[in-house]
Amino acid sequence: MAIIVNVDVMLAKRKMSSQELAQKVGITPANLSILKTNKAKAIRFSTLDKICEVLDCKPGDILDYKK
Amino acid sequence: MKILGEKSLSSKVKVGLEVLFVIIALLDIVIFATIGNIVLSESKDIVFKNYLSEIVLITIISVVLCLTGLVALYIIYQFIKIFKNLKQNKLFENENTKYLNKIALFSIIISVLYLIILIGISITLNKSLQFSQLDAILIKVIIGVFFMGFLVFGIGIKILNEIYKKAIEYKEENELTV
Repeated sequence: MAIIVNVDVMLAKRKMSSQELAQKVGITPANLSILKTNKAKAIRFSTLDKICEVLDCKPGDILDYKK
Repeated sequence: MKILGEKSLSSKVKVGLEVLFVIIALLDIVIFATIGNIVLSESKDIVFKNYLSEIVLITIISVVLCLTGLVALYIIYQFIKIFKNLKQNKLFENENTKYLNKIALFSIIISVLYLIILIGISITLNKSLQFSQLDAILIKVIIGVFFMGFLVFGIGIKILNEIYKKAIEYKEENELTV
């Protein structure tokens, strides 16, 4: 898939651990790992909204498109 | 009543299928032995030689009928594997689609074998004077029903398998939705 998830980059910028993000967003670390490793087939708007809120960023900062 | 898992309806069906498997296997062995015995012991008989072509046809039909038994055994074995998975709560597994695919394929093979029997019986009954016209039609209709039944069953399972594949796809998609 051409959609790249850049949660790792944003986590590094915000100096936040994956565990902390998962806890604040309310998803399991396993699901966050699926997202980070680009294995996810879909992301709920509610999850995206929460991630953006916690990381204080826009969806475009997390999601990228590469051909 | 519990449908899936241990001590459920599916586990009881699995036991039933295993019993059916043994019964069909024994029946097949008995029929094969009987045909072999008749052909070997009666081949020197004068009456037998007079109706040789007819007896050869009947033997071929019986052998094909036994073959359908063997294929049915394989189908039952695939069903046993599916019910074993259901017993272990493995519902949406790719393994099950493989088994269903084999069941569909072998059901169609059985229907082809019944078609061969139908053709064989049509030739035999036309030659034989032992059967009345009504009996001949009745036998052909029964074999025809088996042929159609297995053909429709095979195609039906094939379609259900495609639905099952879609369900597995949706399940995987759901699991990978964050």
